[in-house]
Amino acid sequence: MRLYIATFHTHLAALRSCRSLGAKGLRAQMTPVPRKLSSSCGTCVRYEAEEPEYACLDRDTEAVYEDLGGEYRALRTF
Amino acid sequence: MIYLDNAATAYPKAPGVAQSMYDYVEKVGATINRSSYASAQEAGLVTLTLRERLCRLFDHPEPTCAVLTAGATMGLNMLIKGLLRPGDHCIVSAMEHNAVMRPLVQLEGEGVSFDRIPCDGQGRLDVAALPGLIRSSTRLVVIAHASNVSGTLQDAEAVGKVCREYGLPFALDAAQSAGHTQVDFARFGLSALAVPGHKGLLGPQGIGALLLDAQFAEKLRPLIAGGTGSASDSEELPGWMPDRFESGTMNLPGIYGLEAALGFIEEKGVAALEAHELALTARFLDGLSGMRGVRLYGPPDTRMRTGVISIGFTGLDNAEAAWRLERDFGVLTRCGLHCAPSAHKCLGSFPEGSVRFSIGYANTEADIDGALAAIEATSS
Repeated sequence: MRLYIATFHTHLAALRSCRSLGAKGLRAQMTPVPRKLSSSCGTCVRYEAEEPEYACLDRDTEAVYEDLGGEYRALRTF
Repeated sequence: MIYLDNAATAYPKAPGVAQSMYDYVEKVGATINRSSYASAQEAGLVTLTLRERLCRLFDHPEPTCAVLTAGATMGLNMLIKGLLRPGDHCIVSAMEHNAVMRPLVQLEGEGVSFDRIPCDGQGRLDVAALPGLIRSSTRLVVIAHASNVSGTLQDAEAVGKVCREYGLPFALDAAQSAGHTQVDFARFGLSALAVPGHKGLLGPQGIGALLLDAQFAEKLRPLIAGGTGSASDSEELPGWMPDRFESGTMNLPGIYGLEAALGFIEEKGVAALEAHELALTARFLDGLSGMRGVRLYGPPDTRMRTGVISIGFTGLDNAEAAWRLERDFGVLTRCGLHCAPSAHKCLGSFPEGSVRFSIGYANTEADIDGALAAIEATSS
């Protein structure tokens, strides 16, 4: 399992994505965005998965990072 | 007491509305779109559920474009003032409520013009007259789906078809139809739909929705700007939906109440609610026919109408009659011009107005029979 962080333009997008990831059986949680990451809405979704699960993310997703223990590797911006 | 003022506001509200609002205030309390702790997420999920319920109810594809408002009037102002600019032309029906007419008349002073599609003596729209009113500067067609005076229901699908042919945005004021009859965003070809939460949707006052087509939403200038919890590093209002139209702290008690109300409506089904209300309307109209001393304004049968019935007392001042109905029989109505002078002119009830009886989901046959007996006693 890898740890991912998705950031969003709106809280609503974060909420929908968190719900969608949870519905797929993945552990997902909304949290404040780490300071190192740029974010629009201030809320990110941290989730554990084998892959980034882009299909679960809302269209107003800003970016997805892999959490490497406090360092963040940008995977994709939308 | 016989409550027949559901066109003003529904009473009683749907089961569970008050409890849901109480639970939010006492047990949740958090606001949305700001923080991510558990209670804030719970409130966010209820808000998302409300948007999704609105989309299911009105056959709208995108919850992010279900903008929550303070009510239909706010939604209509957001639409009309957000879209029209000096030199623009708008087309309305002759049966509009002041929620449409007053913003338009305000804008008239700034160079916006409008025309009214004529309606007949029962308030029915002459859809064939619409193309002749269209100008090169026409930017919007907006009509009241159902009259708050006579209950007359307009053929929104036919209006939408004309608007599509001419490439015009079509907006519907569903203040008196939402929850009472089926309102379909897609089938009507709408660009915008304004609904209140506290009438046919059986929720609390102070909450409503403006459902927008995504591309049309981009043309609207937001009337209110402020904090959205998004793009907080910028002093510019973000363009994301629904944040673009939802600055400031949201009405969470209202959101919880309306979410509970729509749960009830989805469970019952709009068709069943409509059938109940129209059965009572038929009983009311049947009782009125042949009654001396009163005159009906609007459709005499249940075809293309809702359960809003207006009458005039021919031998008595309407205000006096409404007062007697309450004092002597406990029948609660609304008399006057109902914020719709144009509609009353169409119906032939201007300036004296009418006494309006508006039926809701909780009314019974006994309510109707009681009201009819009270009318007969008052008019004779």
